[in-house]
Amino acid sequence: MLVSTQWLKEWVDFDFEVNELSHRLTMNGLEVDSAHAVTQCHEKVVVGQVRSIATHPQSDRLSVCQVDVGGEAELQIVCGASNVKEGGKYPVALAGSTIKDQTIEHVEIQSVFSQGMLCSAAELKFEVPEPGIMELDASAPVGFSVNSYLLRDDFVLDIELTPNRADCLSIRGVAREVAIIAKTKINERSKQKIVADSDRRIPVQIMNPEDCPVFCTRVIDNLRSDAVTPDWMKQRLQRVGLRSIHPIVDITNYVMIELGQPMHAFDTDVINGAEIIVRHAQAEEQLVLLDGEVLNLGEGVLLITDRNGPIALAGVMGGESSGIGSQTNKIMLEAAFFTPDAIRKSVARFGLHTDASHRFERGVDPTGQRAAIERATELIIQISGGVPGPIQEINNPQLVQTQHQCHVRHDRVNRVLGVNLSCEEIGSILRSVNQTVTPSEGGWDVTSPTWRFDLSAEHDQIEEVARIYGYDKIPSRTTLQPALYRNLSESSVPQAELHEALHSLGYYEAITYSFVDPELQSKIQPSADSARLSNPIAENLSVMRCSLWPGLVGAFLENYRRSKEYIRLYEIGRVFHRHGETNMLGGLIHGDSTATQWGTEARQVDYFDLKGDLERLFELTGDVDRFKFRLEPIEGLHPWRCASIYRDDSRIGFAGQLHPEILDEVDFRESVYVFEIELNPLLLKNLTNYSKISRYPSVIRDISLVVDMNQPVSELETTIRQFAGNDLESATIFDVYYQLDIGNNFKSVAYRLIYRSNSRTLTDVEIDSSIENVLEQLDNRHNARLRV
Amino acid sequence: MLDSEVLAQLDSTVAKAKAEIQAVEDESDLQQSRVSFLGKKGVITAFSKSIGSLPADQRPIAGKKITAARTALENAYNAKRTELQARAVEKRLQEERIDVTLPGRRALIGGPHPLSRTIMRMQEIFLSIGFDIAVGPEIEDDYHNFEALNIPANHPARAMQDTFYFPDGKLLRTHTSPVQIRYMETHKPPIRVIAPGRVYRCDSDLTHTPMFHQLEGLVIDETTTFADLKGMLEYFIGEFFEEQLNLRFRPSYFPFTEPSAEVDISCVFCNAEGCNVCKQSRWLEVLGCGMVHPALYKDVGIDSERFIGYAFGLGVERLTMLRYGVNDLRLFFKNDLDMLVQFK
Repeated sequence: MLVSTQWLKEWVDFDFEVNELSHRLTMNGLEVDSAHAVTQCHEKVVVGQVRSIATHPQSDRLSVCQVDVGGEAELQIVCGASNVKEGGKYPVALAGSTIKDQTIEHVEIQSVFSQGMLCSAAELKFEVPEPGIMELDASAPVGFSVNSYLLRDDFVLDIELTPNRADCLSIRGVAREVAIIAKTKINERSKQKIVADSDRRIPVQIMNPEDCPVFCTRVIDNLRSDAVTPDWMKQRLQRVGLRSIHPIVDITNYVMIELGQPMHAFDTDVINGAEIIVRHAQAEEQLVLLDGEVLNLGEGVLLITDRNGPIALAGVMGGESSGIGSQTNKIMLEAAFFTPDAIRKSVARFGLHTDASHRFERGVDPTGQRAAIERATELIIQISGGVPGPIQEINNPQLVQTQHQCHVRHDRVNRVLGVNLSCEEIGSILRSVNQTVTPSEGGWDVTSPTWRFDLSAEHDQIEEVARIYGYDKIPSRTTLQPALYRNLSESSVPQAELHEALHSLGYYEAITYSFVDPELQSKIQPSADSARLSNPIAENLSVMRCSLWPGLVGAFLENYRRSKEYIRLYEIGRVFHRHGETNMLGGLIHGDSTATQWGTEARQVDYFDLKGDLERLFELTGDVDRFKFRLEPIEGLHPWRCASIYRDDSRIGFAGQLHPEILDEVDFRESVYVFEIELNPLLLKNLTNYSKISRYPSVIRDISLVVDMNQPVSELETTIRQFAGNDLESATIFDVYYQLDIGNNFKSVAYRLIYRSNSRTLTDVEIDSSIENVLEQLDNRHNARLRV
Repeated sequence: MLDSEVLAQLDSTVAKAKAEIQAVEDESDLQQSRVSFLGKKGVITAFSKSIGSLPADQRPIAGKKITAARTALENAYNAKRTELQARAVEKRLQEERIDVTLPGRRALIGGPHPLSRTIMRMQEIFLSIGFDIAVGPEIEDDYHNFEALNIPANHPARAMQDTFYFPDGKLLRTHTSPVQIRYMETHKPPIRVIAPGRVYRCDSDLTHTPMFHQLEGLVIDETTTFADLKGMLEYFIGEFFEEQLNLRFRPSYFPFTEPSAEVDISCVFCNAEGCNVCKQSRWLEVLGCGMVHPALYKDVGIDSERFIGYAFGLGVERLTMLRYGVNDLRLFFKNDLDMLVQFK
């Protein structure tokens, strides 16, 4: 909402300077986003009247004007504008003034003396410049400063109104707030009643009074066709962001801005059948709007129609057919109360936001229609003349609540706000916002004014008290409230610990959009069944991710293109499927295994770096043995370098090399490894159960096995643990060897077995027998033989 | 043999030995020299043996002198040996010299995303004063995201939040406020909870990303007041910025709180003197808050006469930008390592 302070001053007396005014309004809940001074021209630019025009002796395009600027003698001014007319009034820059950083002086223009300059709006740096020199009203006072004449000593406030304060969508509304701040009353206009000079009326029928409880009209005939919008009105409209279009349209806009009541004017010559019907649209009805757009209306849309069909989308925009044009000399003014719901429906259906719909959606004063018609009539007669008919008002008071009443309890106000305000203080605040306040049992009965339909219940009134009292005056209380005890369970891994472990492994956290590119997602995961947004912001952000990989791959590519050689990323976030959302941890590694540094051999990361990182995370749970990796085909991964991750028997994630064909732009030999794992199982912590430390020595035996190339070693370890007996403390692989000397299809795996008993020193015989047993079982089960 | 002659020989032998000791450079040469003078067949030993051939009255004097010479030489040998050993150690240490200015060897470390860092700091602050942490779904239903929060269909407040919808009518939550409702559905007052998380709005330009983060707070108790809300947020902002910033509460509107407030902090970039970041206003808007609207209590069965609550919603991106001086919102979702390394 743009507000001109000069217009505002017509409605309320205040003497705050503009910054103070902005601050006070903001602190009262009308946030002033900006306050701009209206541009002013040089003080020596005055209103001048061209008395006579002669052609320039040496140029067809120039005229030599004799201009009255209120001085004793007329000035001779050479002018190049084509719209200069005898008798016309224009801004004149006198000698000594500055236009566009150039000082105006007495000069010779092609040997004709010129004593000033006739100015265009652009040259004066005024808003909404029109071609040619700026034409002023015939009534403009000659010799007067243009700044004062056009009331340019003004500021425009841009107020960001919250949806509940529809009452402030007008100069009068903002003036009411200023009056509260300035502790005064607004300068209410005396209620004009314009007597009808004709009895012409157009009958109105309201078919849907529940959507349109109040409908006021008045016919005005015999309008002057040569009327123009006066300068003062043009200026005010421009300041609040409206263009001057036609005097009648300008006047209805002016009244809307001034009083907050949207209005419409119809050309009665084109109203068919001399009847107005307000009704819902029927199926397949169409309306051509003022701006030429054709709407397919559809049932339930509220319309203003004549006998032939729709002439306006009620409360939103008029139709082209009945619009005001240069030929218009008879009009019907209309001011209605359309219910917010009815207008919201139309706005939602057609996505049309207009100044009128903006106000109706939020609510206008249900008692303000007649006054708006009167005000518009007054302005029309003043500007365009005309013969007014009587006001016709259809009003269904039972269908619209004009005032709200509620009881406000004194102690409740203080209890909610944490203040200790007296009866007098609260009472006077409630009255200051134009309410009727009657003391009654422990508080007040309050009736809100017709324009404050946001004040319907006690809590609304409490807010009003807080707002007017001043939020800044309410104390801050930091006394501790009653303690609430939270359990800090040790049976879960704090998420911060998981983050820290990942950081110490070299991973940076990424946060990527939850919606991804469907193309990339289905390339990685062809079977992904992802939810698609109905209104995505872009096609590449149109489906919900089923995996963290598309986002991580995107972040990877971003960095890969910037030639990063060491990339480790992780993300914690939701993935989405048909049945819900799951929190996942995903990771991606690529490039060097360590930073470029001296004394360390450079190598590229591989699957086992990724797996090692995961095992480090499993350690956090204190239950690392419950996590297993199994070779299983997984979409998006290299078929022979991928594993499902199990915790006990449930599959909780995947890890492996990204399928080399997924990323065309990444060299095939440069591998990208990824993992994704459910977050919750990673956070289940096993409480440590201390086991006694053995006092007896350990015995170390190394065994080197030769097995089939494709024998998963995890099975070997299971067998070893199963058959080595209770005294086996650990079995660790310390070498894996693929060489021709053991045969093409074999690998050698070397284990270090450590035995230790809690109760005695183990003998060689015992160990030998255990090893023998293990070897026999390894041979039976996995064809493993001892390497010689 | 004349005394004087013998003694002169002894003296010159000692002198010779000392000269040798002086000249020796390593331990084995020293040992050899020692043997040649003090060994069983050494020169000094020979003098001792020759004592027997002296007249009886001269023997004691000669014996003393020879013993003194031996002792002197032994001391000299020992001293030299200690010196040589020390020199050998010194030499070895010198050979082991390294360039301590070479960089250390280490694994690289990573770090959190700045938004995570902010969320974790916020959680720590609230956890330390007794708040619980709650989460809710990101794909929400209309009821929890709007209806239950006193935002009926077609309410203009819905236009304040451009919503992403799914064909089945579900939507991406536009704020973390639905978690308030979900928490109240399952918990009875007293309530003190925060809910951090991702939220979505159909908006993308220089200052808006279609996804961002909020942290919601909800406190409901019998003695809660607007004054407590002010005190709590002043405490939080002070902790978060580690600085007592001025806060400005001004009236605003949210359908789910009443009274509602927007909160500004004094600009941290210009010390409230006016700059481009605060658009010369000296204030920065950081959060919205208010007293829980009684309409929210109805469906969840909380007695609005007995319990009073407040709620607040913090913008995580906004606070992160202010805290660390990040000037472009969109950087957060590019995950450029050059940015991430700065938040280790």
